[in-house]
Parts: sequence; structure tokens; C-alpha cells
Amino acid sequence: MTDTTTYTDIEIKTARYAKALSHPARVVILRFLETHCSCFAGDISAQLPIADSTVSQHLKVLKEAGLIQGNIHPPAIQYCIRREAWDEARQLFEDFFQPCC
Amino acid sequence: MEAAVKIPLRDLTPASVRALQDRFPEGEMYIVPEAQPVSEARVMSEEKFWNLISLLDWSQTGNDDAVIEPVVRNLAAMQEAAIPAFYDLLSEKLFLLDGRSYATHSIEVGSSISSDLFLYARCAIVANGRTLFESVLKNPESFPQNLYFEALLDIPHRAWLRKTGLHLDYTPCYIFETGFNPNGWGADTINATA
Repeated sequence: MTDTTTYTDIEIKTARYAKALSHPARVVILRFLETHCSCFAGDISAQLPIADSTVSQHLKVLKEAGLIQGNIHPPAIQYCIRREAWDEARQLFEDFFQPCC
Repeated sequence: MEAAVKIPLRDLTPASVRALQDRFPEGEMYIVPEAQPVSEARVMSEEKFWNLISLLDWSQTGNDDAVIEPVVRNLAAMQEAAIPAFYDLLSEKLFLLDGRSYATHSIEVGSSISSDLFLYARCAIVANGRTLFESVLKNPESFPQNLYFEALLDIPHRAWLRKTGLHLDYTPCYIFETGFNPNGWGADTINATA
């Protein structure tokens, strides 16, 4: 068994974001939220040909990874990209996918 | 493509009917008379559910594990099917409180709340028992502020783990994540918000 304490913070964060992106439904949700701040979760569900219960599970994974956040500013509810995590993930993947020799 | 959509007749509103017509223009509706959740019919009634909730030990406030322990212990002592049935009823209560009017009154005027914190606020309403739940359900303005109890969500998972030694892999009947109740968050509910 591998001791996870031997991994660097960068490796752990990269893996966490990669895991969050590891389902096409979550990629679609992120692409949608990149351009919209949804009024309510039904708007996100409307983008995907899957059940609402499945959408909620994907939203939960994305929230746990820190990539999205839900906020209620009465009367509006918004699910949005969490910008600082989005920028961090982009930087980590750019560093990871540097041209190899 | 969804094979079927199951909605209790009592939850239908003109807006939700229109939404269904837009979403499934060629769809057909079938009505199951006297449909009753399997869970409620057999292993977990409303009364049993609220009796379990009443076992929360608030003398242990500050130690959430200890607060929920009596419920976990009693639920784990029931037959296996009672645990997902409990989860179904819990999800229903949280779903019913998922709406703009409840969220608005759960915070001070002009402030905001995260979707997760609003879920934990709804948990606190259910955790405080049937009387408060039914009161808040009827009167959103009575939604208490600054009251949260996330640990309520752990109960079915812990009971299942204790009963079977396995992690609970079950999706309850109702989606309780914030923003999934169209009756609570649809555009036609904006004017209902104080």
C-alpha cells in the first residue's frame, strides 16, 4: 500500500481536480456554469439528458472538489464556478501537461 | 433519456404541469391510485420516523456524534429495509423545505447563504421534530435563523454501516440538495417571497 503522505500538495490537488472532471456529465455542467450562473438546479438539469438525482450527485462531487459553489441571494439562487479553484485547476493542469521530451 | 417521471399528484401545480408539457411534449401520464411509498407502507411510517427523530439527544449538544447516536442505534436495530426507508422520508422532509420563501426567511434581510448551509438549516428544522417542521412548512416566515444540524444527514449512513458493515449506496426518493424543488424555486414563486 502506498502512503499518501508522500504526495505533495500539488499532486494531491491535481488528482482531486482530475477526479472531479472524470465524468462527462460533470464536464458538461462545468462548461454550462462557465457561461451561466444558473437560477436554480433545474436549469442545469435541463442541459443534461439524465435524471435530476444524478445531476445532484454530480453537483455534490463538484462542490466537494471546490470547483463550484451554490449561493442564495434572495430571491435568487445561483450555482456558479468557484473562480479561485477554477484558476488553480487550470494552472495545475497547464503545469502538468507541459511538453514532454 | 428518462424512462419515467414519478411525481405525487399532490405536488402538481399549473406551473409544474406546463414544465412537464414543455419537457415531454409527446409524453403520456399514468395515474397510480393510492400510490404509497413502499418504505412507508411496510417498514417506516411517518410516526416511526418522527419517533426516531425525537430520540436525538440534545443534552449532548456540541458533540454531534453523541446527539445522533440514539437514533443511529435504534435505526440500526430495525430491519435493513427500514434504513433506506428512513432516508426516503428524511429526503422528502428536506425537499419540501427547499424553496425560495424558506431560504429568504432563514437569513437576515439583505444577507445571503450558501446552498450547503441552507441544507443544514433545513436539517435543523427536521431534527427539532414534527411540530416545528409542520409549523415552518406552513409558515415559512417562522423559519428559525442561525440554526444548523448537518449531522442529521449522517444518520442513515451510520445506521447502515453499523447494521451491515458496508457503506450505504442508496439514492433516496427525493433530491434534497438545494435548488432541486421546482415548486420551491420556480419563477412563479418569486412573488410568494416576502
